[in-house]
Amino acid sequence: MNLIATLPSPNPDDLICDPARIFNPAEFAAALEAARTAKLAPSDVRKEMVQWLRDAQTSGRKEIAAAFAQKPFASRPTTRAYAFLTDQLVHCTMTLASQVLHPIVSPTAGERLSVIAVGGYGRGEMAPFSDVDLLFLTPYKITAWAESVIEAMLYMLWDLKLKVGHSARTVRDCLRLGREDFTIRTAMLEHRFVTGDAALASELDTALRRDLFTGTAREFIEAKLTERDERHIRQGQRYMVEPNVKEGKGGLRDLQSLFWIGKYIHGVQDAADLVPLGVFTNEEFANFVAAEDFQWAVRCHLHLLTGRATEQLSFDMQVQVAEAMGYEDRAGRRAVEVFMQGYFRHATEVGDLTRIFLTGLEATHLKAAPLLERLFTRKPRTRAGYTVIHNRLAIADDAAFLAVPLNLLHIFEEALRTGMLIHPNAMRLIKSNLHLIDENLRQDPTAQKIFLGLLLKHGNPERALRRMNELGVLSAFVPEFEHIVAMMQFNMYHSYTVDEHTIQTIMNLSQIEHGELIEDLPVASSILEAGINRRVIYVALLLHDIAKGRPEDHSILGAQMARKIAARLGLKPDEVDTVEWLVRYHLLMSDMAQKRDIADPRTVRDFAKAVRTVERLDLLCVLTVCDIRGVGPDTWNNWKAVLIRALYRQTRVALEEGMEALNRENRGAEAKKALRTALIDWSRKDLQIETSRHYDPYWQGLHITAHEVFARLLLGLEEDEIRIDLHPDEDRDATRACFVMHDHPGIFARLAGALALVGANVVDARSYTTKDGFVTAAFWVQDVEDTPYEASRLPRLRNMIAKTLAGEVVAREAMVDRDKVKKRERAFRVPTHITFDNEGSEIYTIIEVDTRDRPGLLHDLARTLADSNVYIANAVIATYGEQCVDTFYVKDMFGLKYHTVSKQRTLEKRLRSALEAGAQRAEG
Amino acid sequence: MFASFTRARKAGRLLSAFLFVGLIAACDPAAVGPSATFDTSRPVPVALLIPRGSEETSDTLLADSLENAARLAMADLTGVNIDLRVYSTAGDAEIAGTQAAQAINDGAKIIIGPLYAEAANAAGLAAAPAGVNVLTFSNNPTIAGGNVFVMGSTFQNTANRLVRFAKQRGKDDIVIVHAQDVAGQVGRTAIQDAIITNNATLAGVVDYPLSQQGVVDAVPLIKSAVEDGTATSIFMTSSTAAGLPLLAQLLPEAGVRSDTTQFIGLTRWDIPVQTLAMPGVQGGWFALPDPNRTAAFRAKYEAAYGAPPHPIAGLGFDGIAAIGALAAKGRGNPLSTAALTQEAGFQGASGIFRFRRDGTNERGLALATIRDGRVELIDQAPRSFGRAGF
Repeated sequence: MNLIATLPSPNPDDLICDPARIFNPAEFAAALEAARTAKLAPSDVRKEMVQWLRDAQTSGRKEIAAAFAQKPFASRPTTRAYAFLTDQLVHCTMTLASQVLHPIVSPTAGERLSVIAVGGYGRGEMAPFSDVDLLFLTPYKITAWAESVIEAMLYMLWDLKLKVGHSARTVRDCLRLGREDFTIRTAMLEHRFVTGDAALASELDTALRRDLFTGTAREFIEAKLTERDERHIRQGQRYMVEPNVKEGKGGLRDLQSLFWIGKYIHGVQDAADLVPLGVFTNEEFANFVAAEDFQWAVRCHLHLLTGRATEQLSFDMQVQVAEAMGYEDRAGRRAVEVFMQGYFRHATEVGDLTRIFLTGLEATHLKAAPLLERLFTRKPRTRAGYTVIHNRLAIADDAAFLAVPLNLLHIFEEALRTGMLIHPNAMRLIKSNLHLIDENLRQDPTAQKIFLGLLLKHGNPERALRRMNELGVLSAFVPEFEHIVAMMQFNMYHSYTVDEHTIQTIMNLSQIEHGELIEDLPVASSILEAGINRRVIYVALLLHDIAKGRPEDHSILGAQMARKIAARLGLKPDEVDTVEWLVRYHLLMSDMAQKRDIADPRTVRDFAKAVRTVERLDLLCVLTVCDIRGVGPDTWNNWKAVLIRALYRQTRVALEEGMEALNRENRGAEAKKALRTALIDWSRKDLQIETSRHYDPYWQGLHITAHEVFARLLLGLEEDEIRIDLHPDEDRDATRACFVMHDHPGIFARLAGALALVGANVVDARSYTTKDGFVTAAFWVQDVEDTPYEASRLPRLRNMIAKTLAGEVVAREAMVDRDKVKKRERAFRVPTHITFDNEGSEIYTIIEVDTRDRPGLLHDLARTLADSNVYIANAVIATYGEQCVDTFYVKDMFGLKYHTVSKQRTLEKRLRSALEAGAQRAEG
Repeated sequence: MFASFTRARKAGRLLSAFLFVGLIAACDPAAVGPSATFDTSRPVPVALLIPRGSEETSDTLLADSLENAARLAMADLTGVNIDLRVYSTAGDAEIAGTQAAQAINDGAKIIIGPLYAEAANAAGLAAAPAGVNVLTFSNNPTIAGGNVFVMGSTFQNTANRLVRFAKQRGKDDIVIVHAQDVAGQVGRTAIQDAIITNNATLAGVVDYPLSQQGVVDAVPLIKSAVEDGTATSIFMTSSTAAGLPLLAQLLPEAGVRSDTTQFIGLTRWDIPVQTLAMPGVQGGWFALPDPNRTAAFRAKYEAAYGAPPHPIAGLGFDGIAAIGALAAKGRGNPLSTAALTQEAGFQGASGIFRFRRDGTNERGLALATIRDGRVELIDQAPRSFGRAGF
């Protein structure tokens, strides 16, 4: 325990540039001398010298930033350079405070003051805007002189815009407080003398070593582990797509905790010294160092780019940091995605390895299980070659284990079978012997069987998969997987990296299988209950995104890859075919349900043709549900559920009973019958009018409740009157807004505008004209939080809509300051695609506009179409984070489809220019 | 109800008016001359200097209220007699100086008052040669020291109490927001000193010119100062009469809210009552005198005089209470500087208080927050100057 010593000051040779260019002490001395010879009053000397320091600080920081820009990965010399500059500033303010402002002629023994850097600053590592943590050390109770000097220094440091954390203590205070408070103790673990009385500083050093750090390792480690858990709860357990570089999982703080503990236990000063002690292997340590360097570089760039102590790597900053670090776009992937994959690889490496080490410490070094627990827990039985240590599955004989490469897979099965976690030592052994998983093993049928068994047999495949992924076993066994590990998709839709998303989808599947989600997912649950080919569905889920991040379409390429991999995993030829098909079409059902009007029989017919068999429909439905749910915690909602459920049911009917069952007339007749029952109190005549005024699509496209609402709204409608009905549609998590009025051109656009203006987000829209010249339009809207409007807010909403429709507010003008794109969302690139489809519907041309979502988008598009005399029947809206696909079912003035290419071009051009104008407004 | 609003508002204006008069003028705490011992079995001659005779009607009102409160305190004393002699200063520094000299000539052993800082400074200078201490109603610490003690609650005291509390609650990474006027600057210094004293952290300082546009322009700066990473609280110096209403509205709108970043106020956020309804002050912290004792004093005063006391009338009570407590001990010179600065302090109209050697004071303040438009105590005022917190 003799190695925790005062840390050395940054060595001038290790800085990013010549220290003389950062700060020149001789120049300061000269300037001070000049100010004093000029016989200025002390307060004027202070003023002048603080200004001098400020200039020196500015130019020093500029030098460091410039040198760092040249070598954007050289974080260590950079952080040291900032610490060096800060040291100089602290030293100079000390000089000013103690010699100019509060000079003392004959100091007593009590009037000594030592300034000590603690925390990150004590370590000599500083990002550009890191806090400056200072400990002012006095020998005895603080004197008035010391108080004045400290106060003067703090005011000067504040004037230099440094963020100072400070404490003024005696050596005894330090010991006492360090004993009571672990944060203080940790900070003092890394103390470094900066300026003032050196003897006093070394007194502290000795005392800390002797009286505080010795023999308290156990409680320290426990406290650190708790602190780490709390931090992760605060920051989130998972790897976030907008991570906090400092505090997040796998971030710098995790690494520091690990080093702190290592240093504390083994009493070393430099983490590198832990290698010869056997705490880390050379390779592990090299990984940590690489991760630390990388993350410090990211943090420094983040600070420099934002001009403040930003630790959150938000989307907009990711783009800028990637650029600052010199990343470039590659085929199929943006620079920012390459950068973030690098970031996540380091973060997961750190996060996983620290967890292994810390649990290792926890198990062996420190926490003894409570006695009762030890007495009453039966030791689980393990197969030969394994043993149980601290209730974790461990390897009995490392050499024997490694002699049979199959064991590298087998241990995961054993862990699942016994329900135990794998012992940290075993995990380290696996991680350092991945080379044993070679082509021979991959082709070994027993290995394939074990691997599939992990997915299928034990009920929680995600646990095995996640652990295998962390240790690199998954990528070793399925090398194609390596490419998507830690791959981030730079958009707001995906909350997880691709590998994590894959595991999430499989977790969802196993939850459905266990019947945990029957209420949420009745259809998928019943499909699984009835039984499907589990080998196929699990393998398809594992592989569905395998080709992400390559230039080619990931479904097409993925299908090709899946074919090979599925065969290698030992699936039968027909199973391989099905997996290939599922991967190829894994987005089809989701697209059909979300981007097409599923009330249109044509949609269902087309989809049924593509699926062909009920077996494939079942598989695809389950895959689709798991895929959407695996995107993020909030992606799945009732809205999507209703759409997919409806598409599934109708397609199933079509497949089982033939396409004729989807006949419009049949369904129309049923709907009318239901309406007659609902309106039992109506006169025959009124009923007659109502049931005969609508065209067929009306009866198919809306639910009976909407038919009833429209019937009542239409009854006795005056000329120029607009009637509105708002109704919370809980099945779909949206508020349904029904409008009736006399038909005239552009009505759809005006309604969309009115809704946009009140801040309502349209998720779906249907508009039908009646034979007698009315229009009935239904919009499903959500509020800014993507939830239905509360009942109490409906009157206000109704009021606003009425006002807008009455022309009291002009939508486009009132919208100007409303449809701004948030800064952090601007970083996303969403290219606009506009397609025309004349096949997807019997009577309409389908225009699909795929572009960046923003408030008022639907209104802009609808208005443009209306201005071009396009009649809009339906709009189907699908949103994927910042991306939005608006699909319009349209006809021209004469009720015909848009067949001519020139007309399509003209429309496309107009839509594009409207989008550009809108986008400019939103960016501005 | 309405009547009390107006009174409270007037009081606010008055408070800020007298606070900083004479701040810029150089104030020299006088050197203290010899102090005499006297016989405490006889009535203690005490001079009360009040701004009576001023042209401002508010001064007259205040003067009456202060004298009433002083007499109320005298009635409470047992075993000590005070010979209270009242002198009118008309709120003028020069007159205050001559009146102080006159009072000492008349045998006064201590002076309570005057109100305004300049007047107090003049009185202090006049009383210094005789070694007589002056307990002024001012709260301006720049005139404190030597034989002048300020009784008014100081920003320093309030700032200290709040920063210490913030430290306990882990909200001590502080952004200071202040107006560029004198009050704002004094407030900022008080908070900065409190930050130094309590080992808190200064996360940044945002100041603004005292105008509507000034506040509006400052909001993004405050937002970015807070978001610079780790700031946990915003300490604002402004009162309802100044920038507070605007800040309280604009900060939450800009996304800076008290539930994530603690708002702290240097002024009373419960005065006037309308402040309580502002969205931005909800959940914020501010300090106030011990509410129980204040209410008790108020009730007693109303019972005696049939009208509520002026908000600072309690200082008249405090002065007599301190003198009475010391005289009752009856040793040597009970009104010496050493005696006045006794550690244990005194029980005043609004809770405990004590004088410090540098002429300022410490008052035991309670802390409150605002929840749903109502004041809620979160930390009681201390009952004594024990070790805890002081």
